[in-house]
Amino acid sequence: MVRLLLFFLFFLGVTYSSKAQRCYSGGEGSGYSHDLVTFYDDGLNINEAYEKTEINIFPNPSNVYSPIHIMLKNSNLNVCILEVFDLKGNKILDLKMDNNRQIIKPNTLKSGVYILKINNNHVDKLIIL
Amino acid sequence: MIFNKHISVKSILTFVGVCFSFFSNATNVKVKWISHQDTYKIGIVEVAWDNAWRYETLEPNNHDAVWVFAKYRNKYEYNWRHLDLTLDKFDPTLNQNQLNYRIHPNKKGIMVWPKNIGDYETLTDRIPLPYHQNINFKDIAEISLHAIEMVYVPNGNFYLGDGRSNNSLAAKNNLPLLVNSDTLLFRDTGKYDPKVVLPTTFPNGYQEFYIMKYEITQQQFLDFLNSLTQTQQENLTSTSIYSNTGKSALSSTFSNRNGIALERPSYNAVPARYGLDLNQNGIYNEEADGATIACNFLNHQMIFAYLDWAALRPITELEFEKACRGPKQPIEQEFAWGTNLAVDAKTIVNAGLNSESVSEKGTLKEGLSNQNYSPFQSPLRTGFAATKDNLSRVTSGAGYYGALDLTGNLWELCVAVHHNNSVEFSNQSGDGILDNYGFSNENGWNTSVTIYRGGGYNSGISSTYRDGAVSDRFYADLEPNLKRATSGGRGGLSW
Repeated sequence: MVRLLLFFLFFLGVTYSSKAQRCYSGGEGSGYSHDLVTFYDDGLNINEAYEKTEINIFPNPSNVYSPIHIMLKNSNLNVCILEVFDLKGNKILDLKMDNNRQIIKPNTLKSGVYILKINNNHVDKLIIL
Repeated sequence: MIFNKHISVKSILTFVGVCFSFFSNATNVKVKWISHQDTYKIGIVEVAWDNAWRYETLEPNNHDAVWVFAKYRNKYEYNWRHLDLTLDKFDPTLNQNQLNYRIHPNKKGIMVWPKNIGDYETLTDRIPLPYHQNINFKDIAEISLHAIEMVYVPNGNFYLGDGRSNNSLAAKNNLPLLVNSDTLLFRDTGKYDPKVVLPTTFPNGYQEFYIMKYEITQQQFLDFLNSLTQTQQENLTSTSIYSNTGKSALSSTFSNRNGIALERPSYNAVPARYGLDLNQNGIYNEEADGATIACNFLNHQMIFAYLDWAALRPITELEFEKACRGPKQPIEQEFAWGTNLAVDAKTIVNAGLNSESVSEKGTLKEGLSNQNYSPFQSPLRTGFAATKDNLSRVTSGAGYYGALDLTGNLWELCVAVHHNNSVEFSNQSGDGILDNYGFSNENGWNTSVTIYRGGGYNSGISSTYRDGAVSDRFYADLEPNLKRATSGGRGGLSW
């Protein structure tokens, strides 16, 4: 009776199969996954939120007699180190940002062009007239 | 030294370290870093995937698996390093409830597969990842964990050639050739007669191997690019890393559904960051930005580099044919699903999403595939035909062992047998480390040993011409340096 049924199914174009099937199933997505884990926020990671961080410098250009306000916009960094370099690459200042803000006191920098770096990553230019 | 039994695996597995992480978009596979104990040099990783299977008495008598490897970046460094594992603290008897796991002898990654016979809607378990003693977590800023679903292809005989396809590898009189040993002498006819005795070190398909279940996706290649140095990025993309934000990365302009874009140009010592923007709206990595679409515009250098970086290896064209046909007798001009009839994918639904598919369906004898001069002239999501409720090899367009899209979607780069340098290729897998220029540096992975197999969305189907057939070798001598919109690939691994 079973043979007769199988013959009938075969005649109709239906192939009987006792094979396992889930191995040919898929679903959504693909066969790949990625997990990025941050253990220490050194400012060099590629998290999108960090990339939006901008340095606000006011005033810029400035002069040797005025305080210079440095503020980070859109920052979620835990630790922020502000470094100021001259154009020869010499480090002039090394300050920790407090609540994403810092003030460079008057008469700290001489006239010239300086490079500001936050955590050795975000860079901006400061001009002292 | 055997893993210290005083360290309870259970206790390590339940330890939750101080770190934060996120899953990538929903996929068939999930991997997550749970914790680590640097004292014992062990990380704990959670692996999960859908539609897992392990059959030992049912065809296709194989299992699927997940290849897990990791990269790490030390504090205040931009370059990523491969997380080398160690066998010193590894005891293979310490398997978990759901999964078996085994570190590869080259210590570059770990394979996990179902512990018990059967098939599973979802498998989830945690595994230990013992890493090299020279790696110290106090120095690490970030870890990047990767998981790729694989399919096991067991030892055994198989046939090459179907007696009709173009330039196919075959026995005398163009009959199919049985591969039943570790060595192989070709007696092909015509232009592609290699007259080469392949050494036993050449992976001829008889020996067991793993093959990626899917073609390399755009998300995979994107994550790879984001781990490279500036010089490496420059050499493995088509546009300068200093180009404007939003520029297409792998071709001069956005085309053929490749959405990999320059999200942030390189500046100073900072490498570029790439993102997916298939719809070119300037917002990166959205749900519909095509993360799971097969990655095209890949030439041999890009594919070799990716596979070396992932500690995998290229597959040979013999392995490709076995992955399609299994031990079955050849059928003239057959496709990967074991018949020579096909339904063409024509109408995309859920474009760019992880659920992307087409409205057409395969039938009992006609496999669904993206070929025959596709109206959209582009690749689709990898595994688009194998929907969740689709349980048939033919309708899923699957190869004998369960690998998907072997026919159509993108042409797949393999190692050919007809070149003089082919004999130099062995089953040695990548070490996870590229040269300073971004290229693979493994022995035998030469430019001059490649071939494209399996057809792409641009392949034709007729009684006289069907370059997507399993045994067809239409692109036997295609210039491998070209970054073609129709070319991609997948990798494999031997043990």
